[in-house]
Amino acid sequence: MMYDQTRRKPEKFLGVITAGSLAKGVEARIRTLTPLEKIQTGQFIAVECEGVRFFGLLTDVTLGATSDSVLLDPPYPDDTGSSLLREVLHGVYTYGNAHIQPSLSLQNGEDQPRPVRSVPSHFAPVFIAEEADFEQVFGQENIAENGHKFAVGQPLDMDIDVCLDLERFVERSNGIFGKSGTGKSVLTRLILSGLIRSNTCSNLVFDMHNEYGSVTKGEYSGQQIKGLRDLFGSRVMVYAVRDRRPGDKNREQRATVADGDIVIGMNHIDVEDILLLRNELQLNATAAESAYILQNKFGDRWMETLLNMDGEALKEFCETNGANSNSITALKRKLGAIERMPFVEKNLRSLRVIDDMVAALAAGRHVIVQFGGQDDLLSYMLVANIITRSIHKKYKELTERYKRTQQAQDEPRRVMITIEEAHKFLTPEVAGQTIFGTIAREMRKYYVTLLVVDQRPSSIDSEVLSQIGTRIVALINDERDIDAVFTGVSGSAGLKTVLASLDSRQQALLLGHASPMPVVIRTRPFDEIFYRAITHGQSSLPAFVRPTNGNGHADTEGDDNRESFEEWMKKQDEAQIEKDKADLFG
Amino acid sequence: MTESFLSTRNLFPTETPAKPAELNPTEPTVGEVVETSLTGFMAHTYKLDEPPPFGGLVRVRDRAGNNEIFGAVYHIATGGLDPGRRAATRGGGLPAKSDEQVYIDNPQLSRLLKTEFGVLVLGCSKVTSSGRRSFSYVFPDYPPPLHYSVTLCSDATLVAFTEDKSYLRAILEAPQVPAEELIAAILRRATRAREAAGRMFLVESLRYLARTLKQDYDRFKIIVEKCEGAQV
Repeated sequence: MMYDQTRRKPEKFLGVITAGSLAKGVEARIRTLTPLEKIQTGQFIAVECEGVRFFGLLTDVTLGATSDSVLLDPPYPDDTGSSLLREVLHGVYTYGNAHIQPSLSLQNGEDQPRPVRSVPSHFAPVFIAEEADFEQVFGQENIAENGHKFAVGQPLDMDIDVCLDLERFVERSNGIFGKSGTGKSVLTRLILSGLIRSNTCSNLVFDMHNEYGSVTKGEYSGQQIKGLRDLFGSRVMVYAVRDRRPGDKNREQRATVADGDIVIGMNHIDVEDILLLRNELQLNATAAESAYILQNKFGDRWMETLLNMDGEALKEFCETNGANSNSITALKRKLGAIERMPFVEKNLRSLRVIDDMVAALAAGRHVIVQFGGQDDLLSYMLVANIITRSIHKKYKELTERYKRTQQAQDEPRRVMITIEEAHKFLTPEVAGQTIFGTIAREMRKYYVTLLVVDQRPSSIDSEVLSQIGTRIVALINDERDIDAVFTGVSGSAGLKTVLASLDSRQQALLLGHASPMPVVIRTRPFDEIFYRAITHGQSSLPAFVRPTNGNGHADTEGDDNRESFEEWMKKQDEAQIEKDKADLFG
Repeated sequence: MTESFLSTRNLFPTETPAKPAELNPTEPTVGEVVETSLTGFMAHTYKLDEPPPFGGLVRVRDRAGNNEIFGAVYHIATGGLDPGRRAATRGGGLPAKSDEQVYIDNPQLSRLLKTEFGVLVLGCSKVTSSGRRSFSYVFPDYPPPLHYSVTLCSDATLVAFTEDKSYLRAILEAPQVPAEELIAAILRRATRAREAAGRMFLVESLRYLARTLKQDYDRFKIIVEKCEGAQV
């Protein structure tokens, strides 16, 4: 597209390029008459050069003066003629410099902007971006037309959509960061809605606080916020981790209706799962060794066997296997906390629910694991780790089969796993060992990626952080967290000032793989308008039934209690047809 | 110096309708060129003590008669016509006598004394084929001819001439001219002539000056202070 200077509005002119470098960003001298107070950081900027258009982000504004004598003898408000002097000095002796971080360039005649590899030349005119620029860079939302551009918000000073490329989004692991109360949950819900609607990948959500599945109350507005299950019907399956033991009716009633309950047998708990809980269980360094000795000896049933041992048996075991009896005793005492968890059973033949879940994911459904009454960190981490481990195993097999056969129908369906409080799984101490660390580092190849939701990114292993593709960052103040968010991002110095100047609510900085360039957005509101837009033109799906094979379990338990979304939709359609008939034929 | 003048040359000369000096009562003839050069000239007034004001814009026609040379008055002096005969006191110091009485008592004074003024050349104008006057802020090809009459420009011409700001640079660079005072005087006159639009003109002109005087804030500040109060 040929650049036509007359098409730019003169009031959008900001200044001209005067200095800079590709690594550190470029400086633009702000035009004489633009009041500095009107220029905000985080604005999207277009620079027009001969045959090339650059796009960038305004990261800073500095005050400058051509000579020190002006600053040594400034016009004070009560001096005679000071207003005239101030007026004529502005823009000549005293001026503003805009710091711009260029990120994209559009060559004359090309459609798609590319990452910037050059700098604009001296005195190239700089403009505040207009609607057309946003459209060119971010594209238009086409999610309802089976596309993968999803509008996540709008720029600060304009009413135009900023779109995320969901296809690119799911190619890598991603992060949503922000202080507590800055809208991480809303952002997560928004992104998940987009992913589910566009059908770019299957989602597995570990929903620690029951926020995503069903209707919740907004923290600030006090309004009812629809859950993903309400929006997308049986595309989204809800599994619950809850107390099913008889006699505890209260808890059972309080928990939400679900497609299945998660029950875990002790024989499915690995030493690795226990090690992840090292901090929560206060295990010492030798516990790992002891646990491995037990596992070598008793296999799957190591935990059950250990918990059943009395003093004598313990002593005997230690003597014959060379284990430290103090350590084993401590391990036994601490594992008691896991034994007491209501969803843990002594011995289960198979992890039927989890297998169902994995099958549903592979079939293109989305799964939310709700922790309802069991939202303590210990249960959350244990369950998340075990489920993820099964998925990891399953997907490794699927991918290897696909590599062998190279048949299109064998290509595994992409899965994105959403974890909250991610730093608990990804601290430098455990990230090397846990399944989440592995996924963050290499599972991209195996069609599994993470969506890390966290308020303390500095606690996450830097190796994991550096692999994160797209970052959506709400306000963060802590220096270390800010540094962590920008791990592996080039030219981050300018972005830090932008991040620090975000509002505490409904604003976020978007950067990375799925966003062509860093941009500050007002988050799209999660309201009735959004519900209508996101569900528009969506076809319905029958409830998921796992194909019976081998052990033959088709679990639809829990579904009978509710009218499924499709049934509701069907009824609505029928009612509409009846109404139309009545209108037509009297 | 000529080089720098060329560099500030106005590529889009302002055009105003030309008014023949003879028919325009608002543009009186104020003197006659007695000493001339390309950069400036000296003129004598026809009447004693009736010079154009300091900072006033004056013009002289060139020999061909098509073009006019414009300049600003930067020097005014009155003294003996004969450099060998200096003026002496004539009032006698009596309190009853008014100062004006000296001239009445000595009518020969108007013949012995003369008033002269110096003009700094700032640009020239051409009358285009459409009958409009276009200014260019460069030196004329030839200096104003000796003994040609000097005309004080009207406010309308002053407004048109000061529309382009390049003349300011010529003043800053002129030798032996009280540049700060002269600039302030011209700006004050041009500001007043513009009435309501004066403030805008003043700010724009000072901004132009500021760009030229980037490295000399103190000099710039003096000019701004001298312009203060010029606004309507």
